[in-house]
Amino acid sequence: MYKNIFAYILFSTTMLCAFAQPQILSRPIAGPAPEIKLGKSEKFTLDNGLKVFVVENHKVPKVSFRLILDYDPIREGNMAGRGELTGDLMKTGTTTMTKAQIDKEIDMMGADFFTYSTGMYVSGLKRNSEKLAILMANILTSAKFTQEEFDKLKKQYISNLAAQKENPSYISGRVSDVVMYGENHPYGESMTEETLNNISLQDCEQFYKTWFRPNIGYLAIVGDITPTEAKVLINKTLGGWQKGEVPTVSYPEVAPPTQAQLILVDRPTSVQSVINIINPITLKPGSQFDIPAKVMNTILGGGASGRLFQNLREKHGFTYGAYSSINSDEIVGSFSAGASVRNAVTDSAVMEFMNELNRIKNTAVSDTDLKRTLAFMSGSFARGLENPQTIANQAISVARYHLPEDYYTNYLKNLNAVTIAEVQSVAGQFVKPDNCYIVVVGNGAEIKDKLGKLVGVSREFDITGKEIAPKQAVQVEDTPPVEEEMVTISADEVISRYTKAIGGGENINKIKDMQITMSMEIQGQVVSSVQMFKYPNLSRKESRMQDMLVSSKAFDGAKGKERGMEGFREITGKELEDLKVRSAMFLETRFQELKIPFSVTKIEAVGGKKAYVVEATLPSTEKIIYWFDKETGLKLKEQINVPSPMGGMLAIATSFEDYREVAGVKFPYKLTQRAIDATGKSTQTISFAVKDIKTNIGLKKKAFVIK
Amino acid sequence: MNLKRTFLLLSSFCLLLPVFAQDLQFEEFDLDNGLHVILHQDNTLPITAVSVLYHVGSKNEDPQRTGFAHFFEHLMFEGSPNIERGDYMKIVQGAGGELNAYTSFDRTYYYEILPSNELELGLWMESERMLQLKVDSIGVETQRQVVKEERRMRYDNRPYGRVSEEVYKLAFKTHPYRWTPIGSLEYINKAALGEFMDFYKTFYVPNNATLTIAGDFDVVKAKDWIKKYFGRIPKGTKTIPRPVIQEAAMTGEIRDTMYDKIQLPMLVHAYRIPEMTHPDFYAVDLLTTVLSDGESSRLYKKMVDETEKATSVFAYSPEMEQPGIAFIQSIAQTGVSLNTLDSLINVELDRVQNELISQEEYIAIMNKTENQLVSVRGSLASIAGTLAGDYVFHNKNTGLINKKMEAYRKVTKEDIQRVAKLYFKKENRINFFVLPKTN
Repeated sequence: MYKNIFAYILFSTTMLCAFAQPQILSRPIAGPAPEIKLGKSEKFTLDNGLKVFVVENHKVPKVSFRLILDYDPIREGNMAGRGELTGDLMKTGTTTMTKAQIDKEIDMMGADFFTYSTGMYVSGLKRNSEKLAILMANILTSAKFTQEEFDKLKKQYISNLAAQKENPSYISGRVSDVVMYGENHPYGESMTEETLNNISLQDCEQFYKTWFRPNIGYLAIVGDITPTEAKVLINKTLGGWQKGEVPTVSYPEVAPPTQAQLILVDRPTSVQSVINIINPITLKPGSQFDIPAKVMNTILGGGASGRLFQNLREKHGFTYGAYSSINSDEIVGSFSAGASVRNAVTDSAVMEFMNELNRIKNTAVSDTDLKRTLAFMSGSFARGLENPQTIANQAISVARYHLPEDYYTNYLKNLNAVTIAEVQSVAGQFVKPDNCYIVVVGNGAEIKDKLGKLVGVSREFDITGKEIAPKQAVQVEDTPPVEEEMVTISADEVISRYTKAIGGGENINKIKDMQITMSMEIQGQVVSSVQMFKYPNLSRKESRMQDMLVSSKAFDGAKGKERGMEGFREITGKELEDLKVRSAMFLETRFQELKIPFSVTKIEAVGGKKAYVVEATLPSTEKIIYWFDKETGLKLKEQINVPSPMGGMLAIATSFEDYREVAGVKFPYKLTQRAIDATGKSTQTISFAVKDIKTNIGLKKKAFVIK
Repeated sequence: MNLKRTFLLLSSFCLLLPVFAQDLQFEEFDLDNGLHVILHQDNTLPITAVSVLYHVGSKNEDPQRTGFAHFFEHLMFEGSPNIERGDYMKIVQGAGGELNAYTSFDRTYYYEILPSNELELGLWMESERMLQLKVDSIGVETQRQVVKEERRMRYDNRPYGRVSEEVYKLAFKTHPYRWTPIGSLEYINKAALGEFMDFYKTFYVPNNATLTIAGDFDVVKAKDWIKKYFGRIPKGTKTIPRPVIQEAAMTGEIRDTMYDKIQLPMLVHAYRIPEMTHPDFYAVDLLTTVLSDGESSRLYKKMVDETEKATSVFAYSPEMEQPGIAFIQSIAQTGVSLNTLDSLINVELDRVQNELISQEEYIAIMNKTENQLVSVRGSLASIAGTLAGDYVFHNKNTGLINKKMEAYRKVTKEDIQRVAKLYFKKENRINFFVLPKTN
């Protein structure tokens, strides 16, 4: 790929460089590294068990309260969505306030106020901090749900499910969870209209009574408030919150698949594929592997310097961004890597992902990569301290995950002690290119065949996360007639509609020569192809991979020649006569003129469109079959038989899409070529993208002579 | 304690002045080549933000090259004679920093947040790409693909993703706000190396840039480095085009419909409003707060809560250098028609046009605005962006950050009613329906 682009550069030596004489001024040397001081937090515990952490910070006159309820994930089964619904219901009424009163009070303070199944977040101006705490406490201790608000929320949830239904990222997340954790795991189940309708108001009340308890709570108070003020305020407001018995649950381990699986979700309107490669892992927060695992992940896909970004974006231009992430979790963690890429490169992108996953697993990282990553992560840690919430989070993590008290004090030291060997060891432990799910949400018709070749096992899911049972019968490869429909127009008429559709005879005749540049990719290798035509029938087609000539075939008006990897040959006989015809510019519009017999045979469907089928007979008696769109008149497809390298004949079918106008004439910019063997099976699919079409550039006859 | 509590209670529902005991301090100066420099020192933590704002955005583009300014932003990471292609991000991140950039209608903004001992590095890097950006065909072709993927990901492949560009297209007939910064695939395909060169020489010059440093640094050293690295850059020689295109006033409501792969229809109202420096802008902003900020706001309460006709409603007025648009957008509940949403919004607009908002609402919107404004001072990155933006887009009023709340407080209930009448009227709006595509 690179070599090929270099070749291209040789042709266009222009570089954007503002000055002919560059100024050399080398990179400055950094001053001594500053000391990173951690912020302080104070903690105290209420009699009811609520653990409170206070971080005093006067930078802005605001105070925030964040409550985390630490309970084991709950499997809700046919009531999936109950916790989420309860979280939202929390803000809709208490024994002393209606929803309207709560809303008004929050808005009068100009505050941010969120409630959810695992806690609350409340933030506002310092001068309102007492009122905020009172309202928060009122909600936590005296929430009272009404049927009216419950029904309203449920209705909104159902609408929101519909709104997200078509969102490819949402679909990807949903399907990833289902395949990785299974429907029976709390992380794999999800709410549907059906499960929502199974939930009653009493179920939500029960949820609130069971899980909203101070003894499983961590409350972070951050901002313009002193620990003393905070202590008084919280004792007064939340001291009366009753503790309760909270159940604990454990779940079986989640195993990775025994081999890599392709999980395809067909979303026919997609112009990009959302790729998400995932596997479950066992990695608990703060465990000995946690820091090395994050270092490994940062090298692989943690940001703009990560290998995935550098490869898939900066080297190949497949995507806007490619990243990976590694999540530690007390029940089951996960590794994931993903990107959104255009349809045509979906298989190549998956290949590159797999290459990078294998590389980080099999090859030791360089010292430079490791050092740079450690510096980046140290910097991130220091920058994170700007937000006082970070300091509260650290204190809560220490308590929640039973980390050593000095875990964050020693974090930078431990981070910078990570070795190359450790990185490779955790890569082997957590990155599983042979035992992962490759979830792809995209346009099935365009990506499925190529993806299927990469992975042995493939399964299909619908956009709601339900598996589609595999079809037994082999899919019929080609254009079955949709219905018997009589052809009521002549072949001449089909051709004249086509001529008109692409711009009309007058515009076509104005083009005396043209050059079409196309490219395609086969697993990351770019093949570029240039086709030249000159009126009446000179042609030259040439393909190159990197700087290597793959094939070159030309007709210079008299002789036909071919040069390729197998050497040079002159084309003669019937083959030459065929080549002479096929070298005609806009051949389909010139059948009459060139005395090519042609007829319209039937109407067939091509890619969901009805098309007239026209057969034209070449001098060799070989036929070219065309499909012209019944609606638009445009050429949708053509097919011709060629000798197969394996012996026998092979049909080459080319589909045409994305017509764009150049010099008044419409040209297809996307060509998909399939080779179909004698049994009707597609053996290879290649997509060409037209990069450039130039017309009337004064091509000379000698450009069509191959020496 | 009792006293303090009384004080808190007293203060909780009235407006207090001033917000901060101290104004945010900064100093600013120009280099001889026209580069404007703003310094804000805060040594609390050993980090420093460096940013450069170039006064160029999608509105400076050739209508046949939409998306160009943003495409160019990508090329600014390619390197210089002293920075190899592919190294720009690695150097900053390897020094423990983070970096990014964005392009809007009016500006292109680049920043790094670095450990404070790497400030000089940040200045060197920003000066390198201002002085001698180096881009080759590999870079252009790769980023062309990347930008196209960005467009697909954010707009084409996402439900409702293409709505905003359709609305801008309808709202403006002649002004370059009629296209959005991402531009069209067609023109992204056409942008050529030579054109980038010209764009760079025109807009990426010190006299069109503002350098801001916020955080932990030594002022004397920083000034030396600024002189050393940015002082060497010659002033631009081309005139910087600042087209002022007067978009004709609307003469009647424009209605249109688009079909998208969505499940729930969306209604968008877009009202033509003045530029961000116009005296009415604050009132317009406060009006959108009255309409949709918070669950007791007028539209939310009526449409989502009481009548349950909408799943969401959102009004906002983006800050634009030249007259722009304010949006009201709402997604319908299952089975509800957009005409129903339309009339609900119209009723609420009539109300805000015909009577003053209540004192309680007035207090609420002031508190919300203050809450947002103080949050700006929560991070060095956001302080740097605000200082630079206020200098460039508010007539060199760099200190606006200290005065903005005061400006909002000057807006009266009568002003809000007046702008509601003046701008939020039928003949001044686009009424846009987004409907599910059926097969």
